[in-house]
Amino acid sequence: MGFLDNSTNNIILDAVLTDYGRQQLAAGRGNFNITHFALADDEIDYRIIKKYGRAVGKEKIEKNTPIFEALTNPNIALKYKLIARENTGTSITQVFMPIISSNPALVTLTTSATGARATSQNVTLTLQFRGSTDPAAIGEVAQTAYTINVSDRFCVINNPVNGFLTSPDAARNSVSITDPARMATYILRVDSPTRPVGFTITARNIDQTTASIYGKKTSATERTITTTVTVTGNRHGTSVAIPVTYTLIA
Amino acid sequence: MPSNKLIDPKDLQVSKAFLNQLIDVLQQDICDNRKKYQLWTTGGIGPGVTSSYYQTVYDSDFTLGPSNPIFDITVGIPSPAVKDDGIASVLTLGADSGGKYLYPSSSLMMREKHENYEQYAAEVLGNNTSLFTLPVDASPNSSNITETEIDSALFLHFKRTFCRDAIKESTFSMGMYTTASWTSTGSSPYSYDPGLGGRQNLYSASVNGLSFWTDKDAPLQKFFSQNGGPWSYLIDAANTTRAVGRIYYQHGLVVLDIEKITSSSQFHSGTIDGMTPTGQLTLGGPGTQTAGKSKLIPDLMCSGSIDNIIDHFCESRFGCSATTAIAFQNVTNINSLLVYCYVMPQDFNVSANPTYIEPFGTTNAGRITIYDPSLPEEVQDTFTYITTLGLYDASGGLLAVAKLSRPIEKNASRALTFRVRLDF
Repeated sequence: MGFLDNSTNNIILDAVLTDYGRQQLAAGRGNFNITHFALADDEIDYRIIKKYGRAVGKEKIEKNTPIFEALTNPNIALKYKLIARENTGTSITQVFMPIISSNPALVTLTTSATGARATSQNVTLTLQFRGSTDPAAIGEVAQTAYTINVSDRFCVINNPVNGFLTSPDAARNSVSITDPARMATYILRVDSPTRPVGFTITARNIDQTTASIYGKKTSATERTITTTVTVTGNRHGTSVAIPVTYTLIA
Repeated sequence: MPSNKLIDPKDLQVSKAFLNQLIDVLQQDICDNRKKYQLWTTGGIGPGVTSSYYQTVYDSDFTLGPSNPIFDITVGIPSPAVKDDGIASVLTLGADSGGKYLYPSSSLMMREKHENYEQYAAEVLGNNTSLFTLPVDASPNSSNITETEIDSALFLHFKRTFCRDAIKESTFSMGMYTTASWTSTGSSPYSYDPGLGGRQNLYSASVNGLSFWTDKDAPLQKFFSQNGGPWSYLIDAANTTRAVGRIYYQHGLVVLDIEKITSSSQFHSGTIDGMTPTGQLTLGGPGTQTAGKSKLIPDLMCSGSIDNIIDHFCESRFGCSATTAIAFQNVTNINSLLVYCYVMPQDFNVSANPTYIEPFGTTNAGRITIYDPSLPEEVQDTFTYITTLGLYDASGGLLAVAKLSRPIEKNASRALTFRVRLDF
């Protein structure tokens, strides 16, 4: 909860430690060193500005947006960060941001308890700026790395195209033991930033118990699990969420 | 397009603050909600006796999950080796070759009472052979330096949950009845001592002789010892020259002189544990040797088990109503880390929020949602709203999160300073 002192631009806030912060304190090795800060706007829906115009839209956001309590899970505490734009002094205008598109937009996989029918699917990510994917157009907003967040319980990311990818074992090590979603983080370092990048999403073999907990029964022999792979560019924070649906056949 | 901003080490400051909470302990909690740890047991004559070394007072029924322990209570008597004119030295049959003091079987747990006294003496006086003392005249400016030694001690040791880092000086107050019950209720089994109105009074809630012990003159009478930390005398609120005990603030320990806080003339009667064929002993019963003679000191203190004595104090001397028996303020030391986060006009003016840009596949995909069609592109000014602040370490791990109470606009003409406080 913050207190806004209107006489100055000072805002006084009380912070809560995240699970990771407590872990670092508990480790007792002097690892609790604050070096950076970031800002986020998870609760804000900017489409209100478009719907109502700037004057009314701003007022609605400022007065009608409830701010939720701080979350201690570091994976979801700051979902949408604010960004300081680099001042390149060239053609980047204020009104456009680079966006990432995924092909396919939706990934469908099939797996089974024995692993015999496990499948995977290749995904290609293309960067687009001002409606163009031309290398010359995206040069100034090209990414040098992407962060891929995926539930380690259900999927593995491998086979990078145009880059180098964190190994599945290393990604599994990034999973917090207290994170019920078991989110793993992969880093995809890009070889040629102006070209599309790609990777493969492979379904992990899961047992019937896990399937019955997380999956929805769709027939007598099938359960469908839905999850999301989120890819975030390192230079502008723009992300793409790739829904993954896969079916476990008993 | 960085989303994290470096914090200069100079912008991290540590500050200290104190939090005080008022703690009330009710008479009925002391009377009814006590946990016993009956680990001590005897053999030989009769069924034997079991007793605790101490009991714990809870704020509600301790068999329920949400109850909290408030304080431990026990009694102590110094051994004859330490105090050669105390009640133990009168009672003892001497020491064996190992230095262990022997006592008649009509007494109970004398050596355990010594150990209790010695343990607390070692803890706060620095030596288990030291004695707790009280001044004859507790006036801050008194020239009388004579002190008396506490021979029968009642120890109240408050739990960390309630006393936190310390009991706050000059805030402690407790009410106790200096006399046990005198009220007659008539018929058997309360028929031991006609002199007391025909009833036993060991475990009956008293209603007469309420006195208050307090440290209200602590600012004038503040002491510090190497082992006990800051401490002061507890004095009789009705006679501030009369010290009745000591309070060790950081230990959360109250040491009361039972001789000073109870009437020395009142007789007691009731059933206590004993090394007899029935496992019980009648103290002050009619037709017994102690009829009309037995007193708290030395009779109950020597003949009663520690459980018997604690039961007497908690069920009789503190009372059993819903009123406050003990009140004090605690102190919690709060060390705060203040992190100053400076946001410059050029910082954080665009967002990675998916609603901030037109989505892929739509007209003007990638254009900011807050685009103002009435202005040319060259003068479009971006702005964002801040709702959350995260503090990170060098490896990018999110250490702490702070939320604002409402969204704050950030644009290219606005600089902000966040003062983020982390309490430890």
